[in-house]
Amino acid sequence: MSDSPALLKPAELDPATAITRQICEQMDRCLLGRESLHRLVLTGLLSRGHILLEGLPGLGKTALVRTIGNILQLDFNRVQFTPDLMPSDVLGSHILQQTESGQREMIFEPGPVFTNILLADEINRASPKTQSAMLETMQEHSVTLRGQTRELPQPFFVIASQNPIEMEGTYPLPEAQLDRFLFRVMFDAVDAGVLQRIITERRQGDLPSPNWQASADDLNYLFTVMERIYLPKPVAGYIARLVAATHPNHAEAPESVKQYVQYGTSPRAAIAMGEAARANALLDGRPTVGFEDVAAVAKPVMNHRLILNYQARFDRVDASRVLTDLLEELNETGLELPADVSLQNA
Amino acid sequence: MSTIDPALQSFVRRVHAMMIYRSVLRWSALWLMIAGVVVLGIRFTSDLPGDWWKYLLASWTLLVAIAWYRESQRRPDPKQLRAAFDRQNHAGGLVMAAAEVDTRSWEARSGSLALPSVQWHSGSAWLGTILALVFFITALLVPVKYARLIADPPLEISQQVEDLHEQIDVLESEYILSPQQAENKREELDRIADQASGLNPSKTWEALDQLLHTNEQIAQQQAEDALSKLNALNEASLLGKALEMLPKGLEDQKAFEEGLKQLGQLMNQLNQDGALDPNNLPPELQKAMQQALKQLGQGEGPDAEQLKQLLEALENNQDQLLDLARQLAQKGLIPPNLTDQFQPGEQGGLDPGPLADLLKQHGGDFQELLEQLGPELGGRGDANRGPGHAPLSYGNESSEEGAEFQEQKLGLSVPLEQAKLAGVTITAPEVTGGEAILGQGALNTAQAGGGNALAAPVLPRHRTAVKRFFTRPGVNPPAVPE
Repeated sequence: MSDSPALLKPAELDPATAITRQICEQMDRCLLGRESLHRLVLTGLLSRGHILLEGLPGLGKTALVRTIGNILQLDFNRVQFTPDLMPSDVLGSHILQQTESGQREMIFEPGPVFTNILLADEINRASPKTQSAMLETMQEHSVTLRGQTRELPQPFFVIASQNPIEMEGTYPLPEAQLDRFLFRVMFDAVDAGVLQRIITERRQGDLPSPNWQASADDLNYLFTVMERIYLPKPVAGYIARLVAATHPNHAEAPESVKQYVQYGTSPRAAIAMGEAARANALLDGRPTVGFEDVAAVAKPVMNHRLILNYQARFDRVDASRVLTDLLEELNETGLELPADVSLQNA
Repeated sequence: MSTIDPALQSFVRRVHAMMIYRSVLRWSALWLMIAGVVVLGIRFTSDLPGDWWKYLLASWTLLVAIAWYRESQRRPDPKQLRAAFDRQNHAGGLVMAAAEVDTRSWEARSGSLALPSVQWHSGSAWLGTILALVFFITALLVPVKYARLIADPPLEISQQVEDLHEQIDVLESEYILSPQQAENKREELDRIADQASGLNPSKTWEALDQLLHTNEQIAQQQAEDALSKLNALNEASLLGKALEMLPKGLEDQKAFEEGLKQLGQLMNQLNQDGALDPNNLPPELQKAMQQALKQLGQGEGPDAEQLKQLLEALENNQDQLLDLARQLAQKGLIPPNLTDQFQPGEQGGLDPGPLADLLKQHGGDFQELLEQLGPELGGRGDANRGPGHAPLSYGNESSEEGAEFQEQKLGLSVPLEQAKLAGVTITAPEVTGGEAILGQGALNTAQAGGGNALAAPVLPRHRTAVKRFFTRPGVNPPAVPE
């Protein structure tokens, strides 16, 4: 055990947990009725992953991203994706300028992607050419133009949104790009009580300013602690089995997967799930990842990576239902007790 | 050492104990069923040993040991048990991490870990075990009488056995069977009766039939011998009575002496054949018969008193034989047609008086008379003797098991279009060795609508002779077929 990595001490973890708690509190204070969503978005950010928000217009997607940027004191840019949007409109372009010496040279003018948080609004309305221009930025956190690669500022997150209605004239994201999003989060409508509070407390929809902001050091500390959240081998094994079981020809695949899934998730999903589970443990103030952390992030991680077949479309079965079955049927521990024997909490 | 380990080890022991308990209970149900069957089997066939419970206890202990060993071999992976312990305690991976990293700084914060309970839905297993236990107790307590009734339903053959015993008694009392043979038969009969089972009645019936058949064969052989002796005795008795009635004049002395001579020959023959059994006679009659035989053997005629005693001895022997036949018939050991031959009506048809006259005419030659008057004397073996038809008697039905028809290859027939009508018959067609039978039937020469089917054609070489026969003088011949 002496060669094992040292587990975080409570004194090391507690400050990080306090920071995450304050971030969540500020987000909850600014955006009403979205506590679980805020937690999920913060989980994604701590995992350094990109998030795809899916919901109807006017539900507060932009406000969410703006609030996060404000609380974390990160640069924030918003790009409204349209069919005529060109890659250079996002990445930046070279323009011909005259220098002080009178010579002319191509000067790179950075695009809006050079920021910490990029809100790609209605990303599915951009052309595939523009969408694919985002691939390098999302995976490599860099932009290569005219043979020159430029690193993006760190941290860099893409929070994209897409509208599930008005699909005419849109370009659904290809699987390769969907796979680069850590989460796909459904943006549901809030209930009447929350709406009432919004009406009474948010005149003109103005967001209140956060009364606490995280510093860059806080954010770096969070990332440092994140690196030391311990993932036990049985949990890693469970993640691996979970991802493998999304493939219909796998031995542990449940019946719904065999019936409705055409292609399972990629290894990138397993990596994303491990990271997201670590972040979830950090938010809970634990130094180790448990099965419950995996269960908390499994659906947002995998629901956009699962490719269903036509039978699922006919039967109106979505990825969420398939994943629900998968999580219910796959035994986390791998402990094979007889069917009539079960463990109960004391 | 981590503070988690003791609780984890307790949990592992609890799971293992539950698995052993589960196996033992489920196997116990099976064990009770098997033990019940074994107990039933032993009780059906013999008696349970006095220390039977020791064997049961030992086998159950062995079963527990096997269950323990098997579950020890199948013990779940400790890592999986640790993971399950973590999950049940909502420890957030701390218990799992304790196996890989130092978690002591967090164990105080996590507090004491509770032992998860291992629950087994044992309702069906308990139900099965209780049912098996009830079966076992029932097998242990059910009265053997009923148990044996179930295992071996009785076969009611007491009447048959009693009849056979009576037959053997008769055969023994009539000296047909020696005491040793009779005892052997009784032992065999008792063995058949003991082994009689309703599960396999045919075996018992066949054995009884075999015994009955053997008895009948022996009795019938004896009855036929007795009948033969009886006939001889009848002849001798008839001759004796005729001699007794002969006039005692000088002219009849020759016939009388010749008759006595032949009577002596008959008596000697009877004596050699064993028809004259002195054991069947009173002592004074035995002595008289011995004396008469001695005189007859020396060619001397017995006096009237000796002849009378001799006839009495013959009648006594006849009665003994008739009594033997009657007893055998009563026990059903001889067939009715054989029994009828012993009836008095069947014993010769001549009155001694006329026979005496005949003897006188034939000079006392009784053998010549027999040859001439054989049928009238009612001698056995003639074609006009005996019942017209034997009564039908039915025994037990024979089994059809294994019976099959003998395969017989039918002969090839000519094609239908080449066939021609040979005649119409009500008898079954004859099966030949494959040859066509056209033109060889009995109706081959018959004409439709009349004529004798047996009319044979007149061959050319006979035609002249036939024509001459019908044209002989004084005969109006019918038309000769050309």
